[in-house]
Amino acid sequence: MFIYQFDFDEWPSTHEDDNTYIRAYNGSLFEIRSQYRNIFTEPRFELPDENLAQEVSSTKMYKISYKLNILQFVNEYIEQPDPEKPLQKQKFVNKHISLIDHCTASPELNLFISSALVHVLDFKWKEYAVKFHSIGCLMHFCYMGLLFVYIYEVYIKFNLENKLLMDIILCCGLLYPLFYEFYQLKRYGARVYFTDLNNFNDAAYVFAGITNLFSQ
Amino acid sequence: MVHAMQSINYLKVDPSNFVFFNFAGPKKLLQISQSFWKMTKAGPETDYESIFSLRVNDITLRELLLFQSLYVCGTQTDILNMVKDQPDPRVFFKTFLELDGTNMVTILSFDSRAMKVLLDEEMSHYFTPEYPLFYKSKIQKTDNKDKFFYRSAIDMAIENNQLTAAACIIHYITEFQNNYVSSYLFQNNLIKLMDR
Repeated sequence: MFIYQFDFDEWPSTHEDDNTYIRAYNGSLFEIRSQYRNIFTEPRFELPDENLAQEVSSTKMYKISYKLNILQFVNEYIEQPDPEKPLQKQKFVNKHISLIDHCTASPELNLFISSALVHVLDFKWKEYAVKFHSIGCLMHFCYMGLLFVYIYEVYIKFNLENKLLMDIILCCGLLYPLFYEFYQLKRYGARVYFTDLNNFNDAAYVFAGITNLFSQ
Repeated sequence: MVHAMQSINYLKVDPSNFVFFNFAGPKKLLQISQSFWKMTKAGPETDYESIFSLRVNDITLRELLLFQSLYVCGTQTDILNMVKDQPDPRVFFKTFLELDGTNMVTILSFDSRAMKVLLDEEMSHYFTPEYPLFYKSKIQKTDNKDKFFYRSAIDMAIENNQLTAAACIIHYITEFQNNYVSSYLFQNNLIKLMDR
């Protein structure tokens, strides 16, 4: 019931591309009919002009199935102001409610089988999480690589000429997790931050790394 | 006809919806629709898309007496016995304007046992998936008779801590009322349900 399948005359019904695309839509369900180009903004999703003679193409065409996931309305979201009311401000609906947090806290693992929730997770992963975790992972691998070089140079080859420079570079490698920890502290507040034991582990990793470099 | 009767506005899923009263035929229908621009060769044309419909029934004297009896029942067991005694449960599924556009099954959602009897699989041949059974209801406030509040049967079941009733309603919705309009019934209570 949280997935609304529709087929409007105004939206193209076939395309040569058979991939699945997920897009965000923050508007009324009853206005989506006229929002095709605002949702699919890329040139490849351009609406064919019926007035122009179309070239006969031999490419295989696929039927498009449009689905709108409504489950996100229980999450925190921004209600856009009415363009006709300039004094109206953006309104936060369901403040501080996270569907994913509630799902992870729930003992019902079957929740994660539901297609509506799988779509939400898929969208969040592709749109936000994959970039964020890729950067985090890349920074971590860079730091580990630098650490290997540092250990090889300082402890195996006893080359102490560039030790200070390598200390500073290693510290720079810890800047990303350090900023991330401060960001979490600022966003969630000290009370929430320090009640999660994993945060102590993360903070210890950063500060122990920095202390260790300059204490030798 | 397009009616501007504001007392039924609570049935709208979105403020931009229209309420249609199709009361001329043998089936009295209350339709919630959405207007949109349809492009034709002659130019843009207004068209309406039905979101959901309710079948409004005329109340009979027998039904009126039954509802009156339910209201004077002293205990929930008396209500349950009356529900079980009815030869045809459809009387509880009918929408009446006398009940402010709601039905008895929604009103009885505060009692798990009654909901279990009414929404049992054995009753499935009495269900009409064409018309939704559960939707937002208008309920008069007990302390101020001029004021109303709007709640669904799920909200009432959760409010009264009747999780079995809520489970029965959700089961009915997923089996017989599984469309995007029903998702609006969970807008304010899905998180509460997940926490319980």
